[in-house]
Amino acid sequence: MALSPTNPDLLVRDFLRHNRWSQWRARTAETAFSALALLVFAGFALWVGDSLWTRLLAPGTPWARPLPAALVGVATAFAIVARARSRGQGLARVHASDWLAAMPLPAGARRNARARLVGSDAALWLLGVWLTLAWAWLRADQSAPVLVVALALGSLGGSAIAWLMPGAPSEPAAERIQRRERASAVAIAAGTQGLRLLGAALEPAAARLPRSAPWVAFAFLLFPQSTPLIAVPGLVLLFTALTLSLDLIGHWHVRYLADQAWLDAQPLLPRHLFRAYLPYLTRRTLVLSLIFGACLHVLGAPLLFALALTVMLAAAVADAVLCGFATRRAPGRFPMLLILHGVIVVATTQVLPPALPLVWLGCALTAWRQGNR
Amino acid sequence: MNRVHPETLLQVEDLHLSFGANAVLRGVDLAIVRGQLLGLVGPNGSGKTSLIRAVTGLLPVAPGQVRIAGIDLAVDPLAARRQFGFAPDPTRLPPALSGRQALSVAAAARGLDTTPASTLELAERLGASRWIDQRIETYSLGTRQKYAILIGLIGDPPLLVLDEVMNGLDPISSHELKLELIERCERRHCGVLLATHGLEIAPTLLTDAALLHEGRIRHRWGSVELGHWRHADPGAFERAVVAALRSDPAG
Repeated sequence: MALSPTNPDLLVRDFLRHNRWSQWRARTAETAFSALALLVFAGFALWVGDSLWTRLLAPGTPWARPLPAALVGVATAFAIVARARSRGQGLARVHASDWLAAMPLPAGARRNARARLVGSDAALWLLGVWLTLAWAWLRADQSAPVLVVALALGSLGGSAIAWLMPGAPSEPAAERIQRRERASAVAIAAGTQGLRLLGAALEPAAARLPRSAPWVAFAFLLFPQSTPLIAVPGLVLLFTALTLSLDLIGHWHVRYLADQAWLDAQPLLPRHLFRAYLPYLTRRTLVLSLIFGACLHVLGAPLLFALALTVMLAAAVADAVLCGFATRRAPGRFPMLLILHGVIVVATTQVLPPALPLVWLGCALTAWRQGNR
Repeated sequence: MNRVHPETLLQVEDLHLSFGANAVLRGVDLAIVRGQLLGLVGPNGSGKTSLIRAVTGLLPVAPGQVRIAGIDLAVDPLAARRQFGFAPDPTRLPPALSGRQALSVAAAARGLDTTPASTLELAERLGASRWIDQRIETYSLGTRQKYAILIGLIGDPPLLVLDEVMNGLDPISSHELKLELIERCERRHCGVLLATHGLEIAPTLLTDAALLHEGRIRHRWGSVELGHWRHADPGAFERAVVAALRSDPAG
């Protein structure tokens, strides 16, 4: 295979893209189904968002005033930079000991590759934000250019900073991260034995890895103008509970796949390994759902409605975990199954709401059976 | 500054390495000249892999000095790294790339336009070319090991640093690799540092051996001793290592 001498890390990226494309082409039916499912999901999200845009971009909202809009712009820039920094630091840690670490590569070459990789990622985010803004502006009856301009400039500024100053972890910072990860791995409750060790090991590590929580800041955008100040902490808590639920699923899934990889050859039924995480998952989900429901009720939702949403959040987490269990042999299909379940649930809610518990139970049972195969 | 013999490919002096309070290397001195195939033996946890990682610059050492072909690794790591090839841990190879793609990347990393024909020829001899266009994630441990070795040998560096590379290899590949290493040392005047637990291969492959125990080099065997055992008593090296370990007060 002839190639011109180039940056090895970028060469790896090009090869990975080529391989992914070949794989998609080889699995035409599956790729078409995934694309269709994504399109349906995106279409649904845009449909749901329609009323939101009008409210968000209404001239009377606080965000139509220059100072709050500027703050939103700065928060957007900060979020993009923080995400890029985190990705750059992760790559730097991988590069320090990967298969090319002992190769005669100038430090600048790998730094440059990291900057390019992180920069492309930031550019994609920028594109996503701008497309969403363009769509929102088109769909909203009124326009609040101040907020749109602030968001556009904030995302542009954030992406530019991410591109030009990707940053790298200093040595002490890298050591601190490693020490923290090691401590997380060993800080297991005393007396825990057997498979339950795996679930117990999740606890301290998950507590230290709130990955999505900073994005809660953007929930402020969704608050109506009439929101009393006293309700704001409740709303923030509510959105934090939601994002932490997402973190919980993501973190569990990574650990579950890793644990399964080394225990796969053991005479162990899949459900027995799965059970090891249940005490931790149940405890965490219960706490997050209760916080979520209590916030809703305190903010004025009727008790029954708050209870129903509490159960729905817990059911959604349980369903996501079961999807992870069902796709344990082909983890690439996890997002697809999640989207599929999401579409089924949402469609049932729209067409025949009373059937929702039954449909959901059906989805969960199918996933459980798939996982046990 | 110490004077380095022009034939010296690797010079390790007073190398220390600690992980927190745990001292792993406690003043290691080692040298490899052209044509030398030095085996590093020692029990589990003796510091062999740490020494290999320190020599390749993957672990920072203090105090101590590593010179590759006369170049201080700490002062000019890029120039020093051009002088050695290192077979990475096979589990760290990129799973989503094919063997051919991984070799292309490794060639690019050494500044080569294309994967050298000699590497592809060695892949054929090692029995690795059958899977060259398949993804690494589908490889067996032995096939991964073969590609890790090919990556280490790509570009014909004068010094080879290899850690337990015989693990997982089938008898034919193992034999071919031994022939390749011997040929590189004898004809091309390369040097090899080979960390291994395979004591039975030592007399037929190594020119010299060093025993690392508790972070220090405790014993050395030269080419005369190994050469004598090769013909007279192939099992003698294993017995000598066990005896040296048992008589070591640190053990």
